[in-house]
Amino acid sequence: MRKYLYYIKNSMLIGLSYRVYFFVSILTNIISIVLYYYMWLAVYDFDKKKVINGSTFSETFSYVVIAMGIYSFLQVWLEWRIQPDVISGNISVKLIKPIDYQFSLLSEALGASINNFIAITIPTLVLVLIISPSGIVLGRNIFFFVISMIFSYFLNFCIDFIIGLTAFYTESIWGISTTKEAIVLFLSGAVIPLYFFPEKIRTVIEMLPFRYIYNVPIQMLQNSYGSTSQMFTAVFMQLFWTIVLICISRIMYLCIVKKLMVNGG
Amino acid sequence: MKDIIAVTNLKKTYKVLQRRDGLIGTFKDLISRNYNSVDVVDNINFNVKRGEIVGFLGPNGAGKSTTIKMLTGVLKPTDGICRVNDFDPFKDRKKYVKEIGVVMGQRTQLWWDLPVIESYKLLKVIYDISDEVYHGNLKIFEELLGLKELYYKPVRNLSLGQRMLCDIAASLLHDPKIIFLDEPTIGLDVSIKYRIRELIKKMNQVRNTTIILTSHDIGDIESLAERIVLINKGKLFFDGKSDEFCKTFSNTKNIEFSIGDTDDSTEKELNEILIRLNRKNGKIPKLATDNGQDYTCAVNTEEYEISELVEALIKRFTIRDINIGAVSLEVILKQVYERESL
Repeated sequence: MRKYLYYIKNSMLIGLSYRVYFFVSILTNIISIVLYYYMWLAVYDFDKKKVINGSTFSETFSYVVIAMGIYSFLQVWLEWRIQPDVISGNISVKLIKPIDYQFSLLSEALGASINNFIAITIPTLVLVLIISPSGIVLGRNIFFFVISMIFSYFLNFCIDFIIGLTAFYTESIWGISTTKEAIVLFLSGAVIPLYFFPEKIRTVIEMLPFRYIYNVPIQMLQNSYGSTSQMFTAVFMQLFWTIVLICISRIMYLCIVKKLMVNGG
Repeated sequence: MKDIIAVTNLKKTYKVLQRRDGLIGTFKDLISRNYNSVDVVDNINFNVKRGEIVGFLGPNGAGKSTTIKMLTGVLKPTDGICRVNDFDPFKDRKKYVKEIGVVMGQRTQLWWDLPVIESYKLLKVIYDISDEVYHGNLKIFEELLGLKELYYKPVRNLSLGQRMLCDIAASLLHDPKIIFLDEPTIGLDVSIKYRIRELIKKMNQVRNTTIILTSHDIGDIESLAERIVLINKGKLFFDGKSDEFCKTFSNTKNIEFSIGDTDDSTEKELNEILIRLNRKNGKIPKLATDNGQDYTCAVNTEEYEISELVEALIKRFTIRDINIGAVSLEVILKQVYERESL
């Protein structure tokens, strides 16, 4: 286990060694927040008291900003780390070390995420608390938020990992990665809150794993669930999808490694 | 001494797509594909004793890397057995890899953006290296390679040679029983090459590390390997001491001489001597000269009696200096590679 902690540490050190990147990403986030503010204000006809789909402007705005904060935490461009290893067959060379490739990648991703969490996610959440205090509810739901964040991290990691591995078949992942990005962000309710979607589409989305990445943790943070049992159900569904995706990614990984070992890199 | 590596009838076959040419051919390829099997490694047998340094040679595409990949457990042999350090590298990979070190010349195992020392710290944890061994090895690297000043530089700021030194040191950090070096000196200057050779020698002496080395740099092989294994087109071509190799594959001697009394007909006369003394009516060796005084000539010992040739030369000319020697490993290798028409 200790070796993976070192992976996390090293990955954090890398993040910190790029000072400009660090500050620019903070700046980018501030600009995005300002953009979102005016965009959603326009949607609400510049009337902050108006209620659309059962939500006020301040609720919707804080939803979107929280989604952005979580996005910074989750997004570590993992598939782009995997792709070169898979295409060049380097992945089999990495097996010469007594470590698990998938696990070491998870640790590297976590390191980068911890950096982003401290630098971007926490300030963003604090900002939400300041701008619209009703946007985040501080209570028992925070506990559920943390739990569901852990699951959404694994979900997101597995999806990225699978996309990275597809490079083995397609040789390039630019298109797939961009498509995945759009699908995940859209269907998980990270760009537009899910309550803005038509009823029929929402039923479909409920059945997909994506909303467990963004929508569920945000709802936890905003305490949109009526009762504790609903929160339990949501977390349980997250657990279910996490297990499914971990299995899929693991099987795919082992298949590819086996193929590489038989056919050569 | 016990064999640390035992390779028996090792075989690796790849399936290679046979592409058809032209537009129609490409369309046909979309529907039905022909695969050819190619034996990249074909029934190779060899053993390596603990503490040996083996130069693993062969022209490009001979199957060296494939063999090394099989020995390191990342490629499954099609057939045959290889036992390394009492493990089956492929089946026991997880346990096995802890005891080997691998350096791939073009790839780095260091963290690109971090100071070298961070990669070492990580390796210390990955391989469970004790403090004693870790600091002991770092000390050797400092003394032998002068690595200390590089420890705190990010890898991306190192030159190729410095990076290579750090990479080789990294693979030796956990005192591996065997180390596989695939082209460790590719693209490096003489001084760095020298330091790398010193390090390899030292580790071999101090820790009795077994070393498998592939290189196209004959200097590496000459200065390190007592034994060479040469493979060609997937087959074992030669296995033995390197001077044996020279004896077996070269019946050529290099004669250098310098003539004191030259005139216009010297070269003609020399050629006449060479023609006269050739005993099998074989090919007449070429004379090479820069200034008309100093000549070099590589002669075949089956076609010439060296003493006869020298006698004839001394009789006819005033020889100021004469030097008869074996041709270098490099020349012999070149001949072997060419003869086997690659």
